[in-house]
Amino acid sequence: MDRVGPGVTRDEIEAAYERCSGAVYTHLLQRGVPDSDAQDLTGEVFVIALRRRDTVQVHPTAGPLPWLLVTANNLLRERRRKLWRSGKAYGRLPSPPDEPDIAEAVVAREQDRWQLAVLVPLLRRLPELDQEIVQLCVLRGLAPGDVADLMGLPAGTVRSRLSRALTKLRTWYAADGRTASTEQDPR
Amino acid sequence: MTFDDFATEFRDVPLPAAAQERHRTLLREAARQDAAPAAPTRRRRRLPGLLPGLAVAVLLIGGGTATATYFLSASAERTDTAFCFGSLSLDESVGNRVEFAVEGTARSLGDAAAAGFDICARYWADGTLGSRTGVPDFVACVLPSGHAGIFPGDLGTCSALDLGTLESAE
Repeated sequence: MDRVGPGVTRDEIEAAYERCSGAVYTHLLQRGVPDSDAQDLTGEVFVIALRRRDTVQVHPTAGPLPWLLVTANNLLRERRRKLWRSGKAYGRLPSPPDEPDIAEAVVAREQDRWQLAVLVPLLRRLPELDQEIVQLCVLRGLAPGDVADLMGLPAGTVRSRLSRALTKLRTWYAADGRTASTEQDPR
Repeated sequence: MTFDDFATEFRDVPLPAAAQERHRTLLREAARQDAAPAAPTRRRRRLPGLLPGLAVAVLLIGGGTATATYFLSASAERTDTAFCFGSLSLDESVGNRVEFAVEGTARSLGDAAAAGFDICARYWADGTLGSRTGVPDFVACVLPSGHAGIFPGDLGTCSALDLGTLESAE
């Protein structure tokens, strides 16, 4: 990746918060993280960025956002590991029927809610690593090479996983998601 | 609508205002702590099992290169991130080394390593590290950079790499 960084100042982290906090929060909601946890993790991501600002990678066009999203993935992975241990996993296991959907109580806009309600179950059917790759490459539009660089994976691995994941998602969306989105799309 | 159309229409969900206020306060406090000069502290190190006695014994007889490395590196310990390694090598290539952030504030390298065993197991399980031969036993060593490094192996592995041993997960 052709980086401007690494390294940012405290002021740049604060500016990045104003620009990117919604994107980090959305990234976590897309993974099925409950709203209050998504809010907390979003804050943690920026505190980590502040403390590790000499290592923050700045993408020439996307700025620090890709680095922040990968950091959010790492935090989420660790949080899930702790939750698995305590028997309260979220994200990988289906939600109990009486548990309100992640977006339901939280997301103000109807369109955000139905989009998340369609996307989260589809993503959850993929392995965790593929979910991360799809989010960065498809939902954020980052180049697979840049994503590979950020995630410390071979570029070929990212491309092949992305290709397989997209094939599955297109099939699942055509079978399930499109129906769900048609039913729920408020437009 | 196809999945590709759906994905490109996705918009960011605004973070609630109350959360933004909390985060700004958190960031200001973190920046304030970060800017303050560090007070001199006396470090206490947690060593598991027989290692404290072993360390003292080895130092006393003057032959403990790995143990000396461990104590020397303690002055520059880094607990914010740690590394998983896919082989008994310090090679930093992407196929051999993965860096991960340690959640929260690990108080010691031992804490950082303990947090990392499961993370490294995941990288081995999904094939990011290793050669899909299963998840091995791990041992945590002190890297020259002051970070915890988690290698496949046992308590003898760190000294074989000329590194200090932190702990093992078998």
